[in-house]
Amino acid sequence: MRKYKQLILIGCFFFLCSCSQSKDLEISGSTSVAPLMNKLVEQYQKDTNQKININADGSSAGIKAASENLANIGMVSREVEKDELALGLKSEVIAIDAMAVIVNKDNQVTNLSQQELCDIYSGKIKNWSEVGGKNLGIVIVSREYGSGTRNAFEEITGLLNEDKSSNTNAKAIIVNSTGAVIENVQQKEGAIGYLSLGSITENTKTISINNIEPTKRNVLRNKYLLTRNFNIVTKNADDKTKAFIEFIHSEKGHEIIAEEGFINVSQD
Amino acid sequence: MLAKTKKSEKKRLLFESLYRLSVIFSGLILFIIIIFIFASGFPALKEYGFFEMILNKEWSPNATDPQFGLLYMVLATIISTLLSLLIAIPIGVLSAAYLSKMAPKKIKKTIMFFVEILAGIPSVIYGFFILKTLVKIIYDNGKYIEGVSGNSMLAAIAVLALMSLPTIITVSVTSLDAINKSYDEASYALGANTIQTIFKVDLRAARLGIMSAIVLGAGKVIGETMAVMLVSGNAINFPGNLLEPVRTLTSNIATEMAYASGLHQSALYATGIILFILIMILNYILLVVIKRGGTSDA
Amino acid sequence: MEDIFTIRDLNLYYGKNHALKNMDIALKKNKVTALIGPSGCGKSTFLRCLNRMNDLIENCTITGQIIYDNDNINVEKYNVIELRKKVGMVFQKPNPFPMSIYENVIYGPKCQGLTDKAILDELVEDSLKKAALWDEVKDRLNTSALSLSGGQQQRLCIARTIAMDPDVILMDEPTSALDPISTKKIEELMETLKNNYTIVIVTHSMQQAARISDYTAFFLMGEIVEYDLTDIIFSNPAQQQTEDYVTGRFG
Repeated sequence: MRKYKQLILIGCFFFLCSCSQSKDLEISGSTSVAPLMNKLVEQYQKDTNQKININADGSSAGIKAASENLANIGMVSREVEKDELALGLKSEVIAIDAMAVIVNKDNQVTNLSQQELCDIYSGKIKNWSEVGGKNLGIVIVSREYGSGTRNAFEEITGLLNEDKSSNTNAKAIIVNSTGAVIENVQQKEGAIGYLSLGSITENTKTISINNIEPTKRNVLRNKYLLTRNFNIVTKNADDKTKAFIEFIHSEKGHEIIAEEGFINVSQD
Repeated sequence: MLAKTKKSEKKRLLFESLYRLSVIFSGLILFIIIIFIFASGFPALKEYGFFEMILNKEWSPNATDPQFGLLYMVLATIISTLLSLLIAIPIGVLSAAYLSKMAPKKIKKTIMFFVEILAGIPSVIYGFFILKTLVKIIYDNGKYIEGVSGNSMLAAIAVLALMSLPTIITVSVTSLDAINKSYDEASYALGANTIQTIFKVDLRAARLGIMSAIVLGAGKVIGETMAVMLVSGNAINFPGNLLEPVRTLTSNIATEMAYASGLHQSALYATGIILFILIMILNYILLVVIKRGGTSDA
Repeated sequence: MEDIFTIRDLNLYYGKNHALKNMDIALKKNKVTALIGPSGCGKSTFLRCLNRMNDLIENCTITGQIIYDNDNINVEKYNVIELRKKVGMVFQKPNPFPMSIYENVIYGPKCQGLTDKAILDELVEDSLKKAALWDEVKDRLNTSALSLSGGQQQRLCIARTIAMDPDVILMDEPTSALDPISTKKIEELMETLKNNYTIVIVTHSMQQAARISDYTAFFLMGEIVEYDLTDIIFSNPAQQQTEDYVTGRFG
């Protein structure tokens, strides 16, 4: 009998241990949101003992995982569709990602319309003189396939075809980091590039889009074109999930979001 | 006495097994890497098709119906490799001939000192050099032309030629230095001049070594990633104009691997497989050329 | 008897080392002249002066006159290529090129621009016959020269030199690396060659010198001690040192 008791105790112990595995917080979704989420999680894990796992498989995968209860939180870098919400999901914005378009410091052009921006990147407009600048060939700088920034830029600007393939001109220079975008634009007089608003420096020259300047104010006022919301979706959030989301909305969370170059949603 | 022999016998067996293990280990690692690459790239090849990948010109991994056509990149790799070798081989071999057979000892020593250093410099430095010089020059002179940004196939070819040159020179010089001096003497005694001696006797006698130099240089060129990425523009563009940007197979992998997942990632591994095949073909051609040269005498 | 080479006051320095001292000698045309003496006394160095092969050595200075065909060849401006067409050399260790037998023989003429296959074929046959090698290789002219035996290779080198139709053939210890039978064959060859060519041969073997040469020069420590008809050198030399050497008391 004694031996049996011991076995049962050990069994319970293991069972409890495996139960505590479900105490892990699972987050899944957009690769664009993931870096920010990583930073938030890093800080949260320092403050609490909550173990959190992040899986960056894309926004759609995140929505699916949340709706099927495979993840506590889904990260989404685009608008959540109505039929996706109908799966029982609750969506909220945690940060706003804005993109700035930069040109060389000697470039006189200060504004471009959305259509002009689209035509430049597709290669229809080839010379700066066509948009009010001097006679200079336009050097297109873009990011690599798979970059969340590129995806967002092309989607908002209208550079994606129906089958989601890119319309960016074949001769565009492709770089795979923000630093390289800045370097190329600084070095070449006719260059144009895009990057996250949080990455601009005093050496980068931004331009307005549709006559709206890329400022935080304009972003929060919903006036600036090149913005997208970072959303999180949950389904029947449990306590640990709610606690983490509270942290995101807290002052500390907001600090981190601003540090990473994103724009905080104003608390109304 | 018997005890001593047993000890040394044991030692010998120990070392023998150590050597065997090392050989097996290195072979195994190589084998595993090859298996891994092929296995990782297989899904994309199966799903999309091997010939489709090589012959299709559209590379759109994010489209709803993803396209993984590598044609432009295969062409860019082949053209940039061939053209850069076309520049580097004659310059390299002839420089080696001068250094080994014509230069005064002091000059040879000095130049070889610098060439050997250059051979060891990481290729990315050459990339930076070309980026700051040639790319800038191309752009400054061509910025009014549409599509010209400085980053171009020409810049890529320049980098590749530059970084393979020191290797070709050092190995060729070593090969030329190693041939029997008596051949030179015989040639001169028969009334040949220096140029004739170099071309008819020396280069021919050092043929195998020079071919090794070329194979080494070619290997460096085909596999170069970072330096080419810096200066080529990475554009998925038909490599028809030297002044326009292009993307090589190696750059494709490095540029997109960070964010790729699923079929896209598998397609990048498949790019590696195709690169592997290209290298095999190149090596085979060079081997045939060496063999042909070898059988024509002795 | 005509002099083919007249050397006056020849001095040679390897850097600071005074290797050849104040040499005066006149070599006879269409005769075999042997250069004998102990190792390192300057025989080969002297020989190499006759076709300006010392040019290939760094730090070598040569002063004095070497007159060939009424011209001093020891001047900067002299056309050495032309000289070497007329004054050929066979080396101690056979050094055929790693090419076919045929290609070895036509090497020199080809460098001079001869391309006519018919003429080249004839030249090959002629040269190989003169070098007493034709019968042994006529069926395998396209095989590698390196597949020949040592003695055959040396005869090939002689054929190669003959193909240039020189006036003089310089031989630097041509048989010292060969077996006795090959040596004999080549010595016999030299007998026939001397009718058409002047031969100057450096040799370590006094027996060889006595056998094949008409004239002999005895070298000692960078100087020519004695130069005379071979018969005299070996039977009744004027210098004591010469006598000591040829009778084997030293060297």
